[in-house]
Amino acid sequence: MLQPITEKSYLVEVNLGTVAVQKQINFAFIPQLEGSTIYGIQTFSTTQLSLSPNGSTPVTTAGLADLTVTFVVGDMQEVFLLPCADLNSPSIYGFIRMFNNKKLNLTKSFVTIQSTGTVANNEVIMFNFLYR
Amino acid sequence: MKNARQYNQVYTHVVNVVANQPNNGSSPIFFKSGNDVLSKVTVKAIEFSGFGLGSFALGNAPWYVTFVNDKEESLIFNYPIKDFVTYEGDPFSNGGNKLRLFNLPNINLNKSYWFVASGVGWGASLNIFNINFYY
Repeated sequence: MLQPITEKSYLVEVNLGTVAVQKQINFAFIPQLEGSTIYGIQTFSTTQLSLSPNGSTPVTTAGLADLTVTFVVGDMQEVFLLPCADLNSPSIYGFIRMFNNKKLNLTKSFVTIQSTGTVANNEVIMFNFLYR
Repeated sequence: MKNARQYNQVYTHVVNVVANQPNNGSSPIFFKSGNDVLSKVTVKAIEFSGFGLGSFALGNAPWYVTFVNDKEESLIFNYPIKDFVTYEGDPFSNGGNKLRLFNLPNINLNKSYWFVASGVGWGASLNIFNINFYY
């Protein structure tokens, strides 16, 4: 199975804040990813990493299932409500989901909380972007 | 699926971790390498291994690594080091035997660093790890 060759990668944290159903949390501006082409994305849960680089608590694996992500290219929502669990490598036999060279408008892209059953306030979801 | 045997050369960097040494992102630990081979090649794959297969388990230790080049530009930033694990028995292997593939030219290992997210210390049992760079 084809897997990506990482040329550059950047780990981004999205803090859920006070959780609520249908709450949308936009990605922050990341200068390193501005204008770059994204071709692979991973998420991680507390099962893999007990703390984020900033010392925050990641969501659980069950929590990933309660979160979706929408990625915007320009003004188009090209990846719409993708379950974040589908990007979690350990949950998909170690594979990294590949994308077709998307120039993401990251600040218009967002995570949506679909259920608050398994996520807690101020947990973070981490995305590892493979880019060039 | 590519595996390590398809690469001609490998550089193994051994890191000695001080037991019970906490650190966080504000005080990263720089790799100290007397060998600059990585600065002259393009790394094609990276693998993490502990001291003896079957005798280590990182669990969910929040361990991140950043590799930079000579211009101190980050090639990979805050990459979870456990994603390099190919040991199938580790609870966070990348599915086992999936060597992560890279195209990283001219890594400056001395300027590259790793850290553990704040508040987490190391137990005495884990004091050495190896990173295999295939090129």
